[in-house]
Amino acid sequence: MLRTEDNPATSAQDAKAAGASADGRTGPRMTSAVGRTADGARRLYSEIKTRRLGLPACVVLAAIVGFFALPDDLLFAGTNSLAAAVIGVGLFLPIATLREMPLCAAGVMGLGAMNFGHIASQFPGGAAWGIFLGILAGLATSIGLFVFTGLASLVVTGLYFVVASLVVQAAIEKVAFAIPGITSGGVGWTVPQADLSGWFDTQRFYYLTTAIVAAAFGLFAWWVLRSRLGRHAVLVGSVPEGASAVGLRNWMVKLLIFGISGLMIGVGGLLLATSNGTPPTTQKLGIVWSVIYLAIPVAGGLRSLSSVWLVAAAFTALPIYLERLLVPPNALSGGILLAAAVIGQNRDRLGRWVTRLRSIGRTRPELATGDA
Amino acid sequence: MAIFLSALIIGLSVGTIYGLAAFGMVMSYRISKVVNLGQAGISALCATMYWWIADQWGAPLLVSLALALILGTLMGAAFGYAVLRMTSWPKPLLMIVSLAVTLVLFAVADRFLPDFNPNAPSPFGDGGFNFLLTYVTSAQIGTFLVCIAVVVFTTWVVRKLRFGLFVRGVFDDPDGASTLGIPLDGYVVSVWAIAGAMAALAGVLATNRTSLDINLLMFVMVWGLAGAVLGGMESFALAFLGGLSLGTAQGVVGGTFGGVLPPGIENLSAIVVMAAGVLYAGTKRRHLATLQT
Repeated sequence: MLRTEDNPATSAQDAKAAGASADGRTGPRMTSAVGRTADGARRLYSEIKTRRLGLPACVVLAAIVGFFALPDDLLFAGTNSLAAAVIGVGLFLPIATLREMPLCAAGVMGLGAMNFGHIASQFPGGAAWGIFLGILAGLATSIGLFVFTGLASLVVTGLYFVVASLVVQAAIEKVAFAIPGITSGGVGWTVPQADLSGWFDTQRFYYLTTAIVAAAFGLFAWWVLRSRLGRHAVLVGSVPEGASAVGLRNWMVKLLIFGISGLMIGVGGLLLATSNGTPPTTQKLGIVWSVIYLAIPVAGGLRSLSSVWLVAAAFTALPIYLERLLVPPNALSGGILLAAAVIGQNRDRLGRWVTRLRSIGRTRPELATGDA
Repeated sequence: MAIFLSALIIGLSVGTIYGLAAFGMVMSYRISKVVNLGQAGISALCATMYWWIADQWGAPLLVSLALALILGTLMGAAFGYAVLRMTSWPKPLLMIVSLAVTLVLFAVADRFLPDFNPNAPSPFGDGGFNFLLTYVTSAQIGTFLVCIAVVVFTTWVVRKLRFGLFVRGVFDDPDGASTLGIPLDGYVVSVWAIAGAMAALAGVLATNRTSLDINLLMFVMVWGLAGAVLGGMESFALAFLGGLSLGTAQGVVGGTFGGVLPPGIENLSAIVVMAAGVLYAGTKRRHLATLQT
């Protein structure tokens, strides 16, 4: 590792800074500290660049800046987008590893959130116990339903699995949500919320909580993808016969991935329910929303988890923010989807344009030396 | 008996609409290998335009229907042309793009619709007649006959005409068809245009049964997709039968036991049919399993 003192560029900067201190405004100790900070920042930048952590760094930075800088209405949008990102990351797992596209995320998430809301608001033994048991019930519902959906992948794959998961979505939407006892008759269950005031108010509290949970699950998904289970799942998804031949239990790997995915989708639903004070309405749990949630990892290019976060933010935060401009939410969601797809498929071309734009105004060396 | 017969007629009428939607989906899938969720948007906008032209402008119903079908054809052709330009894109992404188109078209339709769901007039009038103690509306008969006629005619075109021969050539072996000099682009756009017209017709016929509800049209296309998958996304006849059986199951159970069963349970029949059909088709016709990410 190159030490600060060994770095000629840093030494030159230190010398310059030392010169600046001669006017008495900055002491040598402070100059040295500034140099070290600048060097640290440079090394961090280099590390981010070499390890290709630019996108994750931007996401984390945006979330932190959002916490301190955003007003309440935008924090609300940000909280929703973080929760949607958790759902998107949950869907990323079966798509990226097993190569299966479940189309029932909205229904599964909604039913889990409804059960959570029901128990949290109606439990007679106190709010704390109600919330605790509601969380357990909500997560159990989501995990159970998603594992049940995953059972279909043991029998059918590809487009047949897409439609099989559509059956689950249709069953939830057309049967379960038609039962007033589950949805509270369209009124919606009221989930108990924290009541805070001042700068760290309720909205900021929920943004922070959601961000921490979302970051934890993002790291968890990252770890799963790099774990033995993740590698096994990729093998099962790509070469199922080969996976069986090397002794893997394909069914177990598939159900584990669907279970983890269901957990994340359930957590996303709980985050939405707690931050909004009520589970999402049945209009936001329909087939269109299932496809939109699925579109988050697909439009993100299926390359990295970070892009899932960015697309989720664009999908949920922008429509909420632009609602005040009376832009139809469907047009916004559709436009964002199209834009994400077009950008994702033309990355190379965009990269060339960016390079060309950067080169404008610079003197080309061959022209300067007359080699052109 | 009368209740069952009435439910059966409702189911057949709905089922033919699902079958028509399934037919259009199979067409666009076979020519481009793209699951076309854009059908829902096309049907929503065309149904809205049909209502708008008939109700707000006061145009004759047949003129409104013709204009709606022309709009559906043009949108289908435009979408087909766009898909041609995106052949290198992954197929699941194209499915998502088709959903994006649907969302945008929903938004456009919303601009024309009032705050409530209006009742679009039926192009077959408001009449009806009694048949075995059951009142059969002209809309139900008209929907059933028109859907059957469109499906039969399209099947005849695909099987017997030169156009159909070329289309089948493109369906089965696009590269070979191109080598033989068949203008691939023109046929792809034409098939998408026909699928768009079918979606428009399905939208108009579905909405004048109940009310002009965009979410309802989304579900018509979902059932249509299920019907198409039951037919392996390959056979027009099986796709139509798949959609028909789903609609009939839904109509018969919903109509017969609607007052007896708790709310929502009547939909279970179609869901069970759909689940059983998908699992059966998936185990027997595994070639669609290749459509993965």
